Amino acid sequence: MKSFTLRLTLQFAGLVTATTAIVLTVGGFLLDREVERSLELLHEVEARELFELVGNDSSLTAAAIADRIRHDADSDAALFVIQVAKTGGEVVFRSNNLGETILPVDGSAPRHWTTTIPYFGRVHVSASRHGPWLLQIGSPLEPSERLIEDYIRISIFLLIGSALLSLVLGYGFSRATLRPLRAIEETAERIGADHLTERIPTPAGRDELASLTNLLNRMLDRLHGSFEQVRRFTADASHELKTPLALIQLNAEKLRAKARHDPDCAATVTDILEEISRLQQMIDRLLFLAHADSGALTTAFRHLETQALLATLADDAIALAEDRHARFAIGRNEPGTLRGEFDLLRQLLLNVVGNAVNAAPPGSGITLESHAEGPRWVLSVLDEGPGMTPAQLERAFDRFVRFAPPAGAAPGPRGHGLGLAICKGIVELHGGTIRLENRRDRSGLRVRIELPRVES
Amino acid sequence: MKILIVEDEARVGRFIERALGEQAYTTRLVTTCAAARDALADSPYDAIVLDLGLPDGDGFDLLREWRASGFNEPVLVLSARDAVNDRILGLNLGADDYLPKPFSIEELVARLRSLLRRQSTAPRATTLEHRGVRLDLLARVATVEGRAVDLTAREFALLELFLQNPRRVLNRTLIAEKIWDASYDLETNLIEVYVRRLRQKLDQPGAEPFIRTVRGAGYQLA
Repeated sequence: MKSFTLRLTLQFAGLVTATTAIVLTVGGFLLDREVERSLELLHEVEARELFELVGNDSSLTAAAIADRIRHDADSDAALFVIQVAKTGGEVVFRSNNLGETILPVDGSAPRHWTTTIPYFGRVHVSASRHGPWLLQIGSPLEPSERLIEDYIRISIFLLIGSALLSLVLGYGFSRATLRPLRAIEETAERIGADHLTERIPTPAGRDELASLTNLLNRMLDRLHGSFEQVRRFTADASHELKTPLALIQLNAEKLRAKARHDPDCAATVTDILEEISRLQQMIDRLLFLAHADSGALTTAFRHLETQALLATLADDAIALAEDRHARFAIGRNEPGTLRGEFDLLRQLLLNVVGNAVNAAPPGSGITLESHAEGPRWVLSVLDEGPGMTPAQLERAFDRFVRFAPPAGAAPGPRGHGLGLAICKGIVELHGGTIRLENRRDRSGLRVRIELPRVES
Repeated sequence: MKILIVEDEARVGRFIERALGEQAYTTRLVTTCAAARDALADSPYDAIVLDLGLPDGDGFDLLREWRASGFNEPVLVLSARDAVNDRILGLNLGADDYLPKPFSIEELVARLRSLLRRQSTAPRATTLEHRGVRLDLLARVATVEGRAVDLTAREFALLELFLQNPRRVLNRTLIAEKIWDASYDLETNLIEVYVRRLRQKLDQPGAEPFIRTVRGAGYQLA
């Protein structure tokens, strides 16, 4: 179960259970109060009855009063305790079931309270004034307490039941609620630069989800629009830049053919042709970067075996190194699989090796290592050159950045300052990272490339 | 040999026309898709040079139409657009070669000539020779003045490319494409390095280098 479904289920169950608990608690209080009120009503009826028996004469002796109400009090002994007092406070009658207890007599009436007496336990008492008498009638609370206890027991069962039921219902409910979200998730997963035309199916109705879906779809429209714009722009830019360049080149070639007998002129034209070819390469690289930046580069990714990839590179890397009297070797080389475009990865690795070769003092070694590290394939190119200063490390991936060759090294081939920027573009296109760091074991630079690994 | 040139940039088109004219090809230059369709309906052509960005449509649509209607002669695609995608798409649609702009006119002529030659099904040589360097393609053996030279696979392939195009200037793009099968630039000076290695192995002391550098263009057999 995904965490959001789980959370929603728990929230739903919690809410239902809490509501049930509140309803049952409030019900319990109401029940408790209702039981007391019905007792008080009974007390009132009994008080009237007693008053009729006792009459309005305040001069009656205690014996006379007892005579008049004893029979009634005894017959209801299981239900009521009775105490009669004069308004002054003198108690004139107490039913037998009160035992030793004398209910406190104060002037304020009517009032109700609960007290404990030995014979009945907890008793709810009502005091009322009738004529010259203060009539105090109490009833045992035990039967109603039993009722409340039953109520609480049943409530707990109901609560547990509702909690379990709401968990089950809540799971179904949250799955149903999240179904449109899952549809959005699945579609969004499929949509990359290549499938930008796809849209999330809009759910029926005009609810919040429908408006969210519409919002996302409008965002995709805009995204699609800007991708298209980048694609068109790069296509237009290359057309607009390259057509005049083609004309300049054609004219320069014509000039060179005509100036065959004028060495000065021919040399100048040759310079122009060389610059044209550099310009052409630079345009190609910038367009490549523009494409990679915008994610608009169409790639043909395949599964590649890392050992085979390195093996096919080795010959070229050795040739590059030998040309500058350096040695190239493949160090640790673990088997692994990754997804990528061979052409681009070769360009990446040759570029990095080429840089290492240019920094390498004659006779030094360049090592290429590759190993798996968790879900990533780590590839390192180590050289034995002077490494880089912190300032250089920071700017190395910027465009048009060129560093002076290390002191004493022969100048390398003239570059455009785009090599590492392109490397970064290629690595990011493959969902990886590239980092430069100075070696800790000795002087030299280590280029560390991490690419997502494929479980084979 | 009649060649149709479809190129909307008239000045580039005229350059191609003139250069092919000097090689004794008959040419016709058109600047729109519509005119290209008419031209092909009028008379047969032995090859077509096709630019992709045309004012009234896309060159790829024309190519698709022609191949679908059974036009089998070579088509060389010219494009100023993104080289990689267009090259792949073009070759899939049945283009025979692809030349990105800006291009050298000599390169265009050379490629066209090689396309037309391929068409004429002449048997291919199994040994190539130039200035005492001999390459046996079947035995994969290279000799200089009868003395065997040890070449790596890449060096052998590169030398073969040069010997098969003896007078032609080969540029970096073409070499990268033929030897490394690369649709992107190789970025490094790899080609320069391999040419240097070949020279070290083939050059005779005191003689002119076997492969010479044509500045601003590429390399050529001397």
